[in-house]
Amino acid sequence: MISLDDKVSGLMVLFLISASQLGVGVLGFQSIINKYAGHDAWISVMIAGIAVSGVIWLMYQMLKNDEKGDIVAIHEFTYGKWLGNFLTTLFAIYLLLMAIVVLRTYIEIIQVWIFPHLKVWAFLLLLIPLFYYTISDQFRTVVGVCFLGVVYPAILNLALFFSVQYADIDNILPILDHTITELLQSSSLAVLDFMGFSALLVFYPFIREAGKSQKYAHYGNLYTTLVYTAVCLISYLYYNQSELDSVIWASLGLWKIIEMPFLERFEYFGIATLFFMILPNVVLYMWAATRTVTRTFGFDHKKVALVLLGILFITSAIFTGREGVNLLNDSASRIGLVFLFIYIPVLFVINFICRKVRKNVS
Amino acid sequence: MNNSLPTNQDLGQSNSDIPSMSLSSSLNENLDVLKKTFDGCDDIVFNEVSFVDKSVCLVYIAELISNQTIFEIEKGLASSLESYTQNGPQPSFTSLVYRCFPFRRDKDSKNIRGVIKRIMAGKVALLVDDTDDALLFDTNNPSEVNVPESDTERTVRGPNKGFVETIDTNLRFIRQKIQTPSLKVNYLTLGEQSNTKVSVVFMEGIADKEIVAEVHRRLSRIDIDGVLDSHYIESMIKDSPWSPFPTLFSTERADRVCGGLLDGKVAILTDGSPSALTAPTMFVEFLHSSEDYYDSSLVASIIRWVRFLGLFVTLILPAFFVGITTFHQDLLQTPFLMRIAASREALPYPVMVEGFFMLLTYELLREAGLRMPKKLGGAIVTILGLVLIGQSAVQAGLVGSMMAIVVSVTALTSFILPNYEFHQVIRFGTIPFLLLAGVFGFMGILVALMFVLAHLISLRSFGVPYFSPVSPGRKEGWKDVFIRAPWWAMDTRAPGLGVDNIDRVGAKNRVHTPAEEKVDQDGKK
Repeated sequence: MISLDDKVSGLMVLFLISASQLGVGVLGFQSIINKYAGHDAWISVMIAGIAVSGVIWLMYQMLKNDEKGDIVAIHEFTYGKWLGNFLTTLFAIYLLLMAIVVLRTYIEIIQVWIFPHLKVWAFLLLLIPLFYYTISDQFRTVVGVCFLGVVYPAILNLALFFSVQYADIDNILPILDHTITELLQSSSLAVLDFMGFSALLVFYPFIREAGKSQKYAHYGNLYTTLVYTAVCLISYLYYNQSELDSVIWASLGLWKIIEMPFLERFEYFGIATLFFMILPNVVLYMWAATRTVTRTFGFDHKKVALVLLGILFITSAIFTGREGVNLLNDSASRIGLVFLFIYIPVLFVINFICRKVRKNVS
Repeated sequence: MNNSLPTNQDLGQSNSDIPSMSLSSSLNENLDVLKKTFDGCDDIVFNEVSFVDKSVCLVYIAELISNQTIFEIEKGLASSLESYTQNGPQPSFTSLVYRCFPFRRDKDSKNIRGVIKRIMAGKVALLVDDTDDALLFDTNNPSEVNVPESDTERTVRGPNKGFVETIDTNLRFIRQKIQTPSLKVNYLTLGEQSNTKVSVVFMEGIADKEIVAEVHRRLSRIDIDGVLDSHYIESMIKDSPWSPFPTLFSTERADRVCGGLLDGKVAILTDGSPSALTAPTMFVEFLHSSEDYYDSSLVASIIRWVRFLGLFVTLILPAFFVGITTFHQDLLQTPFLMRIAASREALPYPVMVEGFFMLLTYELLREAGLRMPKKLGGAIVTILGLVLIGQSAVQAGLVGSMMAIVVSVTALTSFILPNYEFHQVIRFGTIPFLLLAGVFGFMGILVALMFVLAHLISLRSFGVPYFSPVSPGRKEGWKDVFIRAPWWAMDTRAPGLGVDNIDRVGAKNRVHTPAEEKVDQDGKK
């Protein structure tokens, strides 16, 4: 049982959801999602945001009706113990994979932009104790990091306006030049940047009056959607589509043109501030994975955290170079897409039927 | 001005909670009411004297009245009782008392609330059986000369009274500022050998009962042979024993303690130590000074941001400089970069080593200045420091002039932090930041910063999150964190302390403009 002292207020769901969604994606998603919808892809971002809101609604419907209210309990209720635990383990692996993707992508950015000769393992040795410290104790610490991870980097939003002066409106005209199918195809690519909120399935019981927190979850998602849409729109106004093809991290390019009297290269500042967004991401995934494993198998939380961080360390150190990171990103986005838009609705339906049937039986 | 006077009903345990009835003629009944009101105040004295057919009772607060006074009162009482038994019922007992007492008599009171108020104000009350009148004496309170100013926490405006090393005097300072029976004082004795008197002070009706109980629980667990300073207690009752950050606030200022009490905190006073502890404590309080509350809101808010800046500069500046010169040279504009490069030309040591040694030298100087016998005078340290470090080392080409500036600024800004304990933690916190920046550049600084943040967020002080009201966010508390709202706008106490009574000031405290007055009156009709 989770004591009331460990629970956090409903408002924090806003920050948890936003913090889990905003991450490395924001640096380079513009040149990935325009594959199908071209200069209209910013509409796809909004579509993705709406779709994600739908999935959040589905999750809340499931979580509300379960007294323990997390994925472990739902799986056990729906599939029984063995199959349920198996699927929960898969979910934990998915969370771990997400953590690895985020962390590895961020390290790659550091390698390219700040420290070309950075040894991945050395940097990880610096980070892992921080992760361990944050996730091994109370959930409150994770929430606090998430809160700061949304509030502090919000000042980066202001930096976007620097590039507005070079905007060319022709770059996004004509609006709605692509078919619905193309827009939807691009949305499916954009969803990767929204994916972190699946941790909701784990931290739900840690929220005070969790049932009433749904609106905050949607607000959090709304904030993320707005940020992504703004970034996307401004990038498309600034770059034309053929330029975007040759840029990997379009947002960093936007920052690069910013010059301040005391700060020659703003993107250094940006990448550093981004750490405040990356940390909540990784920490939330790792905490959720640890919590899921602990709940399923009843191991000690701290030991599980150590083992999972060990896996995180080894895996992140193995995948090197652009190809490795790309491979990670692609596979994570495919798995995430299947998980959120196929598995969750299916689970919802089965769960719904199970509840009805058992109610009738009893 | 306001037609309706502000009501006091919802401001803590206000005067309305004190029984407002006439004194009865039975001494026991009166005493029962008083004892109930003063329940939990260990420093109230009921001195009952029975003399043949007359029983009387002296009531006063122990630390407000000097022993000499009590001795004289008792002597006067004895002689008046004596002459009363000799002379019979004429003249009346009360007039006899006044004749025999060597003190100015205060107006008698027939109302129990009046009696209580005057006891709190440092008067001695004499309750007599068969009389529904309480006799009150204006005693000469212990003189207030030679009260030291607090050296460690100074302010320009406002009270400057600092605690002394006797607990009774310190309690008196508090009792004089907060004159209500809801201010409870519990005595304890700690230390097997030293038998040090310790008192727990809190406001009933404002402080959270559970926190008070928790303080008592933790104090009762202490098993030590001597308590020579409040820090002994602090280190044994703090929530995270390994954390470098203080989770109890230690202060030498009476007004600071009283402010804390009115916020619903619990104060712990130790005999023999001028520093009192208040709990629970939040991180932001270490960036507040008493003077914030005595300056105008706008000025105080700006100064608060200056302190935030000071904290940040102290922690980061040397590390930032090391990071820039070692790894991130391209961050700077060319002219500035040239200047730094020129100043670092032909210096023998890497900048991180240089910074570390400069910080170390500063610590040495500081410690020498502190421990040096007063007779030698601080001038030696000043001159040596100035000439040796400031000039010669730079001229000799051992240390870069930029580094000398950076370290001096850091040393200076560290003193912006108003609390000495906190100042020390932050000052030494600079060193790990510097080392990490020397190895990992800005990423090292960031990771260290996140480490500190994660640690601060996870800390608790007597169950209250240390980093509240920022995280967990409680926006009612922000008016006293990022700004210092004017007093009329401080309508609630700091949230999260679990206080019983969150309202601090009434809604009508602001002076209303004529237009608003009109609206108010129309609303009433």
